[in-house]
Amino acid sequence: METSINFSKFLVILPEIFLTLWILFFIIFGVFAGGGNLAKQRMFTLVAILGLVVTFILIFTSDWRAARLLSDLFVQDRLAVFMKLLVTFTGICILLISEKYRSFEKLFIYEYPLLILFSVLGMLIMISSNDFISLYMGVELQSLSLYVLASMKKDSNKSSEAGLKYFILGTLASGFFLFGVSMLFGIAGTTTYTELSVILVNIDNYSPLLALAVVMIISSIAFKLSAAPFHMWTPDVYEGCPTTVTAFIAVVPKIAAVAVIIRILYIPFGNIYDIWYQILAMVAIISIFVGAFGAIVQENIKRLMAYSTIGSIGFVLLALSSGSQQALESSLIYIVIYSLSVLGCFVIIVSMEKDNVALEKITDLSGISRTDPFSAICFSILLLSLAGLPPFAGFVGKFYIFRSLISEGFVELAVLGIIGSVISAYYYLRIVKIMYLDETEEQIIFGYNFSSKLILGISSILVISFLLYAKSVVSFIEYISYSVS
Amino acid sequence: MTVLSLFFYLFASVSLTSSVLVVVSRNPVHSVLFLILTFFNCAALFVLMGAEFLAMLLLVVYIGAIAVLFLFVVMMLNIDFATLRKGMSKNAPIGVLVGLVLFIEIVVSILGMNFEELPNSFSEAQITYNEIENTRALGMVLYTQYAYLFQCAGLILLVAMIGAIVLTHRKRDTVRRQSVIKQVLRSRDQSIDIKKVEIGKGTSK
Repeated sequence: METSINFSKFLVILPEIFLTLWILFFIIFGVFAGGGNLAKQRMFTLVAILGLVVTFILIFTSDWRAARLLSDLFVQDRLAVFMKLLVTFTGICILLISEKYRSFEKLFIYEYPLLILFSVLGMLIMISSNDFISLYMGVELQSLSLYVLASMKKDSNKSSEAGLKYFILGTLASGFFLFGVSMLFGIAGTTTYTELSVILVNIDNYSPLLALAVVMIISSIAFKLSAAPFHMWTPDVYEGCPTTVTAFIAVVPKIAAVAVIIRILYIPFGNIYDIWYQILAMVAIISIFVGAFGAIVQENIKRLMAYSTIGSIGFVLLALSSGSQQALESSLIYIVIYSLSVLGCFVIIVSMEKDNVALEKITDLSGISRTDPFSAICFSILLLSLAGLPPFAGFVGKFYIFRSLISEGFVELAVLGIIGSVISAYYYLRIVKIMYLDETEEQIIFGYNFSSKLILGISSILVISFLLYAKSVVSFIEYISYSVS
Repeated sequence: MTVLSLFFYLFASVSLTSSVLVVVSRNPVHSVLFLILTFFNCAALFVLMGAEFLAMLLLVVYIGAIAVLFLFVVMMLNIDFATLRKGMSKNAPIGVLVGLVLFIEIVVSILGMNFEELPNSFSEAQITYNEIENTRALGMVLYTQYAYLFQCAGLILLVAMIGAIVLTHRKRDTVRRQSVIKQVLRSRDQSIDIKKVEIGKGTSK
């Protein structure tokens, strides 16, 4: 029996090991450093960012080739590496933009960056899971940190409400997930993706128990993605959370959950496409329309972004419901563009303030084109990109989704998606109209620091010039997505 | 076999009845007690299936810790359960409907299943571990094959602990804390005041 351990293989999971050790160090460091003032909080944020940057570098330099280790619980491939890089990068950005907001909301506790690190670690585990149980562990680590982050503003009723709602509904979703996985285990005798993909092909495709298991698993992941009809928590949680946490929830877990649903649909459920494509298409269409109609009546910009998320996730799932290689690529392109645009939008939303009080009404933005043209232009670009207007990045994303749907013969789905997209353009354009045409008596200011201004500028430039380098992005994503099939 | 199935139906029916009573009983203390009864019967069902470790875990964790905690919360905190129940009669039909649909779905899908045809089914997995008892079987894989999951579970518990501290800990200035540095650095002059006491007069204080 071979007893020696192949250490070179373990280099693949070095980023996770490093981040875990860094977190443990950070806990001790934070306890001893104390810190109720701004300077110390700056230092904590810096320590957290340093940990994420090193993790990013370790992920980037790790072996990108496919590998499975830890008794097939952990998988490494190009999709995992790419999504992990995206998660760590957006995590760093959120930490950078939350500095100013935390200073005027008096969120002076070092657990804030700490829990963000924990959440990112959970997402790394989620992304490279090759087993439903390791996926569950990652999901729980990720969401448990998010529940605490959501209710972090202890003196605010809304924040506590958001945390509680998120927690109760999240545990319900986890319960459904485990129920589905246990049924799957009953059918196949294993929970490993790669084994399931072999076993599930031999089973009569219309076995109702298998369908029930698939429905439960997909709906619990759809809950994490905040896809309708599992979206009820999203607007309340987005509104109640501290705004920087909202930014985090809106971007980073969505990337991880998309990676997870892609892996689940293409590997263990890859051969039972007939069971899941209708469910996914229905969830996608409902999400797109809930996102489009729900956002129209919103007065609060965070609630509006919640509906915008629901709609965008709808487009990702719509792409995946055709189940082809092209669909995989187009959904990846869309989630990259989505995270870029939403990150930029949240830089502005996080920075909205007046006399050190955070503002979040849409009407607060009226007339900012005259007082702060830079913010107005950036926000308009990002919103138009989310609306999917040419020549911005969002248009390219939606174009690829509809192209893949039509080439697979799902013309009805593409038409419904386009109708939803046109309806949702209304509320994005309404914000642009408020910023440029409405009069205002009260002036808000945007408290950017250097890094948030940089992130806003870069994301706007990337979004507006996407067509120039779209070809190289698409070919890179093709290269990424060939690792899953 | 018949004795086993007799016990199965006994424990199953008691656990079902008591879990219904958890929801409908008026007195919250009774609810918690019925919850404990439900857990006990579930533990008995685990024993019938040969999963004695899970049964013990259920007893220790759920009854020993969680249910007792529930009982404490119910008795210590002054929660007005009458207002909490207000929506009950209004929302009950929807809940019953959703539950019924889910129940029928599960029943239909289990009846529609042909368990003989499964390639790698549950029964087969059980046979391989039958010679080793449940606890030992878990111990054989928990720290070797599933060490990664074990570590992840540890991290989740760490987050739970940190989260509980973050959400409940409040800094108050009125709390007196021990400062070791202050205690150690205290010099003799700061803490002792020597006074000459004249006989028959005492100190002024």
